[in-house]
Amino acid sequence: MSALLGYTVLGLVMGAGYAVAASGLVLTYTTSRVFNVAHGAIGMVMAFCYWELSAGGLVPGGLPAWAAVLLVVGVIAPAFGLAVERIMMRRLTESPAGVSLVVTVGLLVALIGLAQTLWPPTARPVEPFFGAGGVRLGGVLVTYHDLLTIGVSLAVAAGLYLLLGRTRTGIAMRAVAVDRDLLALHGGRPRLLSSLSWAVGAALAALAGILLTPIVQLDYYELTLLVVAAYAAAVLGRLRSLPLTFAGAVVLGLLQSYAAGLRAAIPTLFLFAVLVFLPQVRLRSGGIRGIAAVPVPGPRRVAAAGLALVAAVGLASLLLPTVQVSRLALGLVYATVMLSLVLLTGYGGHVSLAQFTFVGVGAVTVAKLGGSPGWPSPLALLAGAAVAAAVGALVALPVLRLTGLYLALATLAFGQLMDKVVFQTAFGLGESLPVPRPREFAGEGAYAVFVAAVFVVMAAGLLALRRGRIGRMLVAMRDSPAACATLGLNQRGLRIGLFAASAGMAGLAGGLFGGLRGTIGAADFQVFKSLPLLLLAVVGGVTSVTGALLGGLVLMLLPILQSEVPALGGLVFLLVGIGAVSLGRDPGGAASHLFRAGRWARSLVVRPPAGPVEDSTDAPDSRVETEGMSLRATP
Amino acid sequence: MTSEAITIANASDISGPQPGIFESAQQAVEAYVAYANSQGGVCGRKLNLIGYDSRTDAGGDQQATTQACERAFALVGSMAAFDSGGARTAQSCGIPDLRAAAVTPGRQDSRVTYGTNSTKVNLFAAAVPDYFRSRFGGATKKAAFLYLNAGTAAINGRSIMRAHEQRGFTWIYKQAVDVTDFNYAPYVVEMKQQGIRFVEFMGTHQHAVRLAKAMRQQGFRPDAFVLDPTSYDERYVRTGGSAVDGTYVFINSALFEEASSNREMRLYLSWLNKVAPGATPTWFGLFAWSAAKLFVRLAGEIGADLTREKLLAKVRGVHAWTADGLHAPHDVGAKRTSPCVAFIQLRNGKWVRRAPARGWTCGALLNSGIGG
Amino acid sequence: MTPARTTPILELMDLHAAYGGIEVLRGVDLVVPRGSVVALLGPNGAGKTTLLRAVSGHLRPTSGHVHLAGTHVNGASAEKLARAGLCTIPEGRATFPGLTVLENLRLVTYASVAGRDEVLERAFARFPRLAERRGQLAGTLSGGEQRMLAMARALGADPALLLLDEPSMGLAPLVVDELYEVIAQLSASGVAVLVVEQFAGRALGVAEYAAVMRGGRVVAMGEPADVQDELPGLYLGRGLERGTG
Repeated sequence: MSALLGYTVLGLVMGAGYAVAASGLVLTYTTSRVFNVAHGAIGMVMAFCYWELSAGGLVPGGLPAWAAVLLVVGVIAPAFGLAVERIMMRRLTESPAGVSLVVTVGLLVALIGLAQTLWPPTARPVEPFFGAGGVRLGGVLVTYHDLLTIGVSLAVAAGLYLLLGRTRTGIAMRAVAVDRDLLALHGGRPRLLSSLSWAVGAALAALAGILLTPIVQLDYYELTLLVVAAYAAAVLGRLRSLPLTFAGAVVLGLLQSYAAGLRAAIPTLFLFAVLVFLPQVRLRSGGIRGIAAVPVPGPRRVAAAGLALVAAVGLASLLLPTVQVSRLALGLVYATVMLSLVLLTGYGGHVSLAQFTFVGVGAVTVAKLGGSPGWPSPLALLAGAAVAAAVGALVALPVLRLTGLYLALATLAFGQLMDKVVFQTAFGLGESLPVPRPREFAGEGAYAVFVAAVFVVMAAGLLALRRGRIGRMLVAMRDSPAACATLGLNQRGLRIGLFAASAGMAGLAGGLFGGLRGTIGAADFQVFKSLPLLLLAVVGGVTSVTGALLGGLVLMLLPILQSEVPALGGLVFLLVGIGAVSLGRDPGGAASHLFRAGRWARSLVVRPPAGPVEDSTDAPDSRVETEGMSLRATP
Repeated sequence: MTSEAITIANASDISGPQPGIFESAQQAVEAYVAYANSQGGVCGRKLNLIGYDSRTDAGGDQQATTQACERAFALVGSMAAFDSGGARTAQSCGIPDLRAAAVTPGRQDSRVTYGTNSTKVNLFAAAVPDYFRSRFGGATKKAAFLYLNAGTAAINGRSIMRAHEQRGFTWIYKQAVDVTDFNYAPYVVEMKQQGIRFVEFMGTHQHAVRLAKAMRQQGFRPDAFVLDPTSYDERYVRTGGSAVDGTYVFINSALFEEASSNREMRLYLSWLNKVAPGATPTWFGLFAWSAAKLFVRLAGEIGADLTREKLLAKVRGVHAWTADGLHAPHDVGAKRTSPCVAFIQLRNGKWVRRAPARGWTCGALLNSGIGG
Repeated sequence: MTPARTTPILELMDLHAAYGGIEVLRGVDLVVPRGSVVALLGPNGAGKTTLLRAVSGHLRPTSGHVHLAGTHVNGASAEKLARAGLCTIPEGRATFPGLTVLENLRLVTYASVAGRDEVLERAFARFPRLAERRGQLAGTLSGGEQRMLAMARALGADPALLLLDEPSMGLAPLVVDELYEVIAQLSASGVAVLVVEQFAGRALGVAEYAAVMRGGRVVAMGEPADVQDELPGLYLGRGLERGTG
């Protein structure tokens, strides 16, 4: 019995930590309609700042803990939140969920890079507040730090509840996410309120980071990823109800404490269950703001470009040293994976945070089949695609009614589940599986050409799909599911097919990936690798094949760049993140800039662009002196 | 390779999620190359070193190995967490791969790969459980084994558990710990409940610190807390503070603290400081230095007619390599774990030798049957 | 018709405004005298809503002048104008559906001189049904109740000028009656009102002046009776165009 009490107490402490993190997440979501994937990363950077001030070299002797906390949570974090809002988040409120997700993923990546650059890895011990003392409850020692965490989480939850529910400012913060213009007409200040919500959100992230650091210790990734567990709690609260969020966090902590064996999988299972079983709140998905259509080339152009690409790769394989040829092949494999994202995200409008998992499914299938006499290698590749497609269809079924953000989170949960449960068993422990190549293309150069050819064929198929009836239906479904329903379109079937096809493409790329590498291991397909993939797909341009090619090549180059120019180090992440943030707003990405440049170069007369409404809400009123102005006639 | 110079390569994890984790291995080889060249090189031929970054990624290891295949005579002193990536490449190009250690079974099995810290997953020194049984008696019947549930740590953990059981240990509590897990308190509570008196952990030193701190917090003080040599690291001491005091480590190398009585250790430390001032010597670096030393020794014995195949043949004949007392004897050629260990304990922030008084205790080699 | 001698509450002079490259307002001249009710009529696409957006601060004019109480306010932000006494009730959704009735009314205090309690009192006194539903989400109210809630802002905020965009759209006749009673009440208390309507009848009934827009310009302005005769022709394109050609 006392053991149960002990576990309960520990579970509550863990839950309190999650609650603080989740509350901040819910705050930024309710007040800005942006699900800030980088919430944990902000907390991580602030935790490093705290260390710098209290134990690092910045202040000789170090500030006392309470002063450092006040400075970080009260000054540095809010200032940081303001900067983030100003630079990145301002326009995201009206963007589709996919774009805002990508931008915050970009921020996450950028922050990790920032932390690695400012604080190169070395030992940085962090002690809990109030040292080791504590209170004994049920045979378990609850430290004063733990009690503080519980207290803070309660205070935060209560404070936010009061702020958002009872004060005018809080009500206005909720209103500003729904309709900025209308709030301005009321006389509220949308700019100020947005800034305030991000400032407070960042402060809460800092608080969570500082409280959790003595347990987790300072690490770029651990703190960042901790928040993923908090997502489940936030989603339970429908991203708006703070009491439910708090309850969800506590339940999550308790579950993790009781079921130590399943510990790793619990947040994921929880998230998945919540997403699938709870009625989905009607989220305002935000209008699609005129995604400029990317031109779809005709079949002859495609054939010519495809042949040119294969020829170029063939030439390169003869001229370049072996390692560069392998790298080129890897870039093309990544580009093939990105084609699957063009289909799913570019045409279909759905964000997947676990595309690499399907790559893994395909690779493992080919590994298991490969070498068996009945399965010559090209057939094994197709089998890998088929298995991945089947998994994709299976995943699509329970999440059919989810859209936008919730769907993305569901893919994240799925990816993690696969990581922890399926891949571990598929690979055995620490083992790697060999993957064969087609015998005809065993050499590096030949394999590179093979990959290029597969890429071209898949791209051609994708473009043909886009040009045809199914492509039009997909775009229609993306732009307005409601309208499609009135047309009697079989959306369910189309959606399952979409997921299956996208997964199948990724699975095929997985077979190619395995063949290129020769051996694969569980670590190759971790969920975390799907994030840069998505990021660069969007930066490259998720609506076009050219974008996929660009994205794939850059994804391959990034770690090389980071390694060969060590001075850049984490800055590479930073640059990618910033790039994603700025380009991410335009799903056409870098490719669409290229297209635009091409079109401009070809045209002589520049038509005036019919852009979005010019909006003076955010314009500085420098020219008009309205201070103290009143229209009301003075009596 | 020319008549004036031999080019060797080192492919270690420099960049990645934990930047610089095995940089010390590359630095150690740089140091040895500088030392060797100062002594006239290999039969009058200068040694050139090309450093590659395997980026803590199997793909990165594959690319680094590909480059080494083309530009170097041999890979020396490499250390990579995902070295399975380059296994097939190395084997197909036939480059001698004399590593500090081969981490993954895939690399360990490669025909051309050998490690000075030669370990086979299924082989374990009986001296380890024997020593702890003799010192802690009954506590080893109420023992707990925790291990990181990721990659090679997991399979190593399972193998070591079985090996201990063969020598009379009873693991009452076994727990695989997820990499992302940060709260070890429930595990500690469970161990307390079950009356555990002996705790052994297999994982990185960062995770070991978490466990130690959780144990200290809950007031759980087992008779012994035992870690493997990867925690023989100054970062473990610094991050752990008072919570890690009393930790036992079994180790198959000499100690940095014993430099005054160990000439080879002095050479390593001083030359490391010359090529990379301020760099920290590590247990991995030590074995990388040893690998470079072995390479130079063998290449010197072969003489002018040095070929890859001849070198590999020579390596196969090395069965008790100690790098002149830098570490315990290792059967490099047969790729067998060393049966010899020493035992150290952290006392007031300093590592102190507990047994034997000098050198290493050698015993039988256990085969756990896992991972073989 | 001659303008009142005191400064008009709103004066537009040769106002031009565009969305991107497409010009919608092509030189609008309009005067709203203090305390008067002006009906702004015209067919679809004439630019009425755009005009309101330009006045309320959501659209910066490309040229011309907007004078509020004699002050040139081109480009002033919507929130500053709202706090200075301009109340705009846009067409369509003019409340926050995710907030309760009470919470919506709370937000009125940004622009009002009166405090929260008084705002609530006024709103509930005039619209008892809102009082009954004070804890209910605004999005779950009927169309008419939502419009009442929006009008409650005009009651609470004590504006000097009220801009109404198609207030009667989609409402039942009885509700429209109530709505126009409120407008009349506001006007009686000294608030100037500029009400945009596509269907002229109601608006003309309560207005002192009427202006007709077509093709981005005001093509007729005068007292309701005068304008009413010409309306069909103006809507359909026949008849004289006054003002700049």
